[in-house]
Amino acid sequence: MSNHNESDLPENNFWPTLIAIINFGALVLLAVDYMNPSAHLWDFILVGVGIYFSFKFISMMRKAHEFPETRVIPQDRKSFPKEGIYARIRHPVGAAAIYMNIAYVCFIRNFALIPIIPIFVALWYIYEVYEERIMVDLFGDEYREYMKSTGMFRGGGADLQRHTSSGYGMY
Amino acid sequence: MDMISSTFSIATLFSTTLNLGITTLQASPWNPIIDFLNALLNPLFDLWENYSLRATILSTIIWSFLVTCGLVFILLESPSIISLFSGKQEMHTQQRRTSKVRHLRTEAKPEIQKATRKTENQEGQNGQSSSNKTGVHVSSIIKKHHDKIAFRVTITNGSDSKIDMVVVDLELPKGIETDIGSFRMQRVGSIESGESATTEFALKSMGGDPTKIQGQVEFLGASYEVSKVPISKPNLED
Repeated sequence: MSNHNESDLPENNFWPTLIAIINFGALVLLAVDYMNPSAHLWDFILVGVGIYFSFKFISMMRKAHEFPETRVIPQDRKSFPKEGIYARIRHPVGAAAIYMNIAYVCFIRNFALIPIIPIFVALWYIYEVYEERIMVDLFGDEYREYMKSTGMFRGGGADLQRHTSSGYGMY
Repeated sequence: MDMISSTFSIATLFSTTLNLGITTLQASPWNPIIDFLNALLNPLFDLWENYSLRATILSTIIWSFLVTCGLVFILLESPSIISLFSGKQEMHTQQRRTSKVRHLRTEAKPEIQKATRKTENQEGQNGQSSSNKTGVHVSSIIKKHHDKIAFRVTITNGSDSKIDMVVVDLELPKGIETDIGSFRMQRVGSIESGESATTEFALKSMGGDPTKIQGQVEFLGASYEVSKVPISKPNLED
């Protein structure tokens, strides 16, 4: 029996799911119609690159969902994770989705995707910017500090990660 | 006649050289390897030359990965997907998962938990610990022997991740100085999750109040941010 009131429980964040359904639903339909059937050496190389990005997608999604906060809507978050994948990337789900978009480009191998993919990438970017604004409103300087030490979609370099306000010069 | 004779001798010479060459080739140690590789690679080359088969293999690989990635996404995002279609948006998984993780941690490290609980009890009794959102607890004890003071700081890492570069920095009041060979700042190093570390400062009293000793514990968290936890008012022991 739960001690928590139903209304006290945090709400599921359905926005990334909705964006992903729109994004990948459209891409699957495009893949059925526009996938390049050729099978030359370059096609194999491109598919290899696509497989690499697919693995990145799986890895990032798995790492992001190690933290239950990933599924909570930003407005209901009591804290935000700073460990694991979140120690390097602020939005691993968005990053995973963008990697999967690149994988689709490599798999479909058709110029028809060139104008479409940036639209989906922009969609993910807009959503993550919106989420960040809410997080900054909620957590203020703590989140701003976290933003400085991490990358939005890609892991920051050593310089980014060492940004701190310590008295130590080396940090 | 001479010309016919010389032509014949040249032809004989060529024939001999050619035979020698063939004999050399036949005796080469590479021949069995080449034969083996031919047997091994020829079917692959045949496959590669079959364009429709290549296209089928490529298509199978592509669709396998697309389906796998889709299933991974559905599996991980299933609570959100269910709530999206069913309309129930309350998230029950978080509480369950968190408690499960806590339960596992408790089972895995009973001795650490015992040590942490002991420290927490001490802190509760003395009311002399400080911590911040990082989950790191700091408590301090003073042992006084004439003018010598032993200032002991205990740091308990109650967070879920290891903390690194832990440094204890004291702010000494007037009339309290560091003893010979001791410094105002000490490096503790790394502390694993759930573990404690203690460091001791040798101080000497020159008439100051040791309970006014202040300071802070600095450390590097999992997100590479430096956090500072102040050392609270120390407990005096004789």
